Parts: sequence; C-alpha cells; structure tokens
Amino acid sequence: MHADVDAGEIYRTHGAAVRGYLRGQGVDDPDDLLGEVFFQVTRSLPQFEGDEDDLRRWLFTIARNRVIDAQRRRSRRPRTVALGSHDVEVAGPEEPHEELLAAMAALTDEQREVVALRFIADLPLEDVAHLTGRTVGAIKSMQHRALDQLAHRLDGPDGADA
Amino acid sequence: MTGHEELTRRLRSLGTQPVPPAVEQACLDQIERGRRRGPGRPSKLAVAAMVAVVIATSGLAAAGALPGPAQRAAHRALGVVGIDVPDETDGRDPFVDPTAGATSSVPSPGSTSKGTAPSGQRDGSDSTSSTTSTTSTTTTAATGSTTTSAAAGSATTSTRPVNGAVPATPAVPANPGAGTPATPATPANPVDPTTPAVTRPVSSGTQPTHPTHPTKPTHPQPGKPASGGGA
Repeated sequence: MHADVDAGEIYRTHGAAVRGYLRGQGVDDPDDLLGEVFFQVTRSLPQFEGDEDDLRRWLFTIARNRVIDAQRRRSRRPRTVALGSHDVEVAGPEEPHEELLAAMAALTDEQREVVALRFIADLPLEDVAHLTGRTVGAIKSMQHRALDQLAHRLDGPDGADA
Repeated sequence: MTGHEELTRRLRSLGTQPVPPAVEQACLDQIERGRRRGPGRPSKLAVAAMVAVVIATSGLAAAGALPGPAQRAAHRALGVVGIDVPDETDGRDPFVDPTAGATSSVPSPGSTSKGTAPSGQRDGSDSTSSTTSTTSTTTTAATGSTTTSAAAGSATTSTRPVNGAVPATPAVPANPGAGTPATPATPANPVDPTTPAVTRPVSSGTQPTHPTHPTKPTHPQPGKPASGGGA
C-alpha cells in the first residue's frame, strides 16, 4: 500500500473506529479531534508505506498522538466538573455507550488507553505494547485489571455482564 | 478474559458505531483541507518568521553589528556568494596597534608630547589629547612636512602651558618667534631617517599619559633629538 491510497477511503474504512477510540479516551471534543486526525493523515499519507495492518497501526499512532496533545492542552486549562453528571439521563442512539464511557472514565489513564487500543481500535496485543512502549505481559495484566474494573462498575460487584 | 465477552463486545461496538453525518462532513472537509495544504508544507507563519530572521540577521551582518564570531562567520559565508559584509575586525582603526594599548604612539613632529620636546620649545601644549591629532599625526608622520598643520591643530587643544612657552606651533619652522621650532619633524629619526614613516606612529594619542615611553628603543620618537638639547 502506498500513496495511491486515498485519505477519504481510509476515513470510510477506519473513521468509526478512530472516533470510538477518541471517545473512549475521554477527550473533550472527539469529533473535532477526529477531523484533526484525518487532516494529519491526509498530509502524511504520501510518506506512508506498508500494508493494511501497518496502515491501522499508523493511523492509531496518529490518533494517539492527537489524544496526548489534547490531554496536554486540557491539563493547561482549568478543569470544569459537571455536577451530578452520573445522574443525567442521556437519550438517543448513543445512550448505551454513555454508560460504558462513564465507566471507562473511572479507569486510570494507562488502563483506559490499553482498553481503547485493544478493543475499540481492535489492535493486537503486540501492537498495543509497541505503541505504548510496554511489554506484552504488562499490557495483558493491565487489560485484565481494566476489564475487571469496568465489569464491576457496569454490572455490580459480581461482574456479571448485562 | 473469561467472563468479559459481553463487555469486550460492547467495547468493540463503540468502534463500529456510525459517524453522524455532520461529523463525517466536517472530517471530509478536513481531509480536503489537508489535500490543499500538501504534504509537510510549512505554514505561512513559519515562512514569514524565517524570512524575518534572515533579513534581520543579514542587516546586522551588513552593518557589522553582529557579535565578533558571528560577524566573522557571516563575512565568510556571504563572501562565498560574492556579498561583502564587514569582517569582525572591520571598522577598527587599521593603524592602531591593538597590542599597544598602553604604548604611546609617536607624536607628530609638531605635536608636543611630554618629555619629548624641550619645554621651551613646546608649543605650550602637552597635547593630552588626541584623538583628533592621532589621525592627523598618522598621516603626517609619513608625509613629513604636512605634519605641521596637524600638530598645529593639536596645539589648540593644549591644556597645560609649559614654562610659558609661546603657544605657537613648534613644528612650523616659519615661526621664528615661537622659539626653536619643533624641529623634531626633520630630525625625526636620527638613527634611521627612513623609518619615521613606519606605521608605528599611530598611537601618538596615548603618549601623554606615559611620558617615559618615548625612550623606548622600538619606537623611534621624532621628538627625541630635540629633547636632548632643550631639556
């Protein structure tokens, strides 16, 4: 795969996964960040070389970098906390995910990143380890703890999935 | 991961949820914007900043206002492409011996410096000065007779009349009333008459502060011979 791949085609194939990853990471404005990601993809695409798997890794590397940038920007701004946000009922088609996203927000940054890359971006363990600079064993361990915590928050102490 | 199948399914479904049309349109706009911008092209702001830096640096280099090493580097670099900017040493008086900060220069034959000319023959001025006389002295020392005018010029700046000598220009032989003319101009260098024109004369301005320097053997003083007779 080379520069003949169109950025629009990449968006149609992977746009939803990238948006889900950005939402799972809890950035302030995932839709705006999605545009930034594909703007960068479009500009950097001529330099890309690799197959479909490489493209996916490359794409989420860009997305991850944008998330880090966004988190840095947010850390420089005063934080605002929405009072009683857990009690707000969100109507609409994304309601089931709001509960899931709220549970993910309670994870540590590292756990949230691993879960988002591993399951939402659907990257293999090795790629997640490579992207985050950790060992595969560490990713496995972190993933296991993160899933336990999510299950606990979503379904109660027994961890039974809904 | 046993027991988390439903949870992982929900997580994966988050990555397959359709993008709302408005978000999709905004994203496609960004892609189009990225296409227009081109790969890795620097922004207008970056280009403008770079141009400004180049212009400012070139201006400073042309004015010789950069710090020494930078000025030298600019001199060499721009010299390669045929642009001449001052070197680090440019702008200094080429006749001033940088190592002779304390050494006095040879005064012009007419200029009376301490200890060189006999007090009676002095023009009445220990020419303490002399930036102005320095330059003129430099040329005069080489040209011989023209010295007199330069010396006369410095005489006007005299601050300490010595022994009531007539403040006339001693170097002007045409002025008999001024006592013995500051003949040093002619016998400038009894040892080697051909050497007075050497570039050494330059630092005459500092001489007054070091009256003993004229005796230095390395700097033939035009006034020496006269001092022997007048003092």
